Amino acid sequence: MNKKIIFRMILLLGIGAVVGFILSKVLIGISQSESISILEDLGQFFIENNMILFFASFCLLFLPAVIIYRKGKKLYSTLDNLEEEIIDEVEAKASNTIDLALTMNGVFMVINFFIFGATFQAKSDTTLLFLLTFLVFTLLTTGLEVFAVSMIKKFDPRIKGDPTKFSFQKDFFNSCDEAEQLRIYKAGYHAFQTSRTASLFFIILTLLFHILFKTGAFPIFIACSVLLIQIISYGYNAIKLS
Amino acid sequence: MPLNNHLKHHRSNLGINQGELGKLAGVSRQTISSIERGEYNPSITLVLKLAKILNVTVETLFEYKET
Repeated sequence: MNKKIIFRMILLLGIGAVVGFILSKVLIGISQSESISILEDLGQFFIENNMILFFASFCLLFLPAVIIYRKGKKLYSTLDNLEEEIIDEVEAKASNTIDLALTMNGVFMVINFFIFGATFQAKSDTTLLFLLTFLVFTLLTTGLEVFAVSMIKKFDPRIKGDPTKFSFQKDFFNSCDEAEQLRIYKAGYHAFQTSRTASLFFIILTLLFHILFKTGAFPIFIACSVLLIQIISYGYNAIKLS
Repeated sequence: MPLNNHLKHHRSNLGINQGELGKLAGVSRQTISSIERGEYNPSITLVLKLAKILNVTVETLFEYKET
């Protein structure tokens, strides 16, 4: 181990100590201040305005996703009449447009579940409307995914898989050619690395929140479980493929 | 990439477009395009398939160039 590496390690330890000291002072200040009530007030605000949040996320995420999806569908429909020189560019644009629409749709689905889970109240005047709204929005997000996959299959008959079946992921992947599968592998690996870093961050965050705001051990358990599943599934598949 | 290919040339000689070659080889048009642009190196299976479809040898289709 050379001097440069030792110096770098000592420097990182030093920076970590300083950052940790400053952070601990800030967090102690937060825990002793009235900011805890701010969190409670924020939670109450979400509960009281859950329907507004539902429709705001619908307008800001789902409706634009539908508009963008239709734009992508239109681009796909023009591909047959294009010359070879520009077809790559247009097809890439169409594919990216559909990917963006599906990503926005996915984000809307997650926010939909979050609003439902975080603000659900069994005994409220608007409980039935709340439940119906959640169900309708869930159906809409599923519908957009089904339409998008059907559209892609129409333009590329090689692609197989029914999004309403459990075997969709396997059927879809097996119908992709070698270059498409390689792209999926690469994207999957990068996504795995990002989500692993995010899981570590959430473990630390839930731990801090438990110490400061007494949020309980359950969030820490969930965050640790996610990381555990990632590590075990990666290890299992690495062994299986070796 | 160290792999040079003459796929576009031989495909043009056959008078078919990327989509048609892709269908014959069982891959997408984008994959054929990626190979022609040198952005993707096909597997040996795909190389042999393409050579058979275009009625040329593998060495005529692809050449390895030291960088």
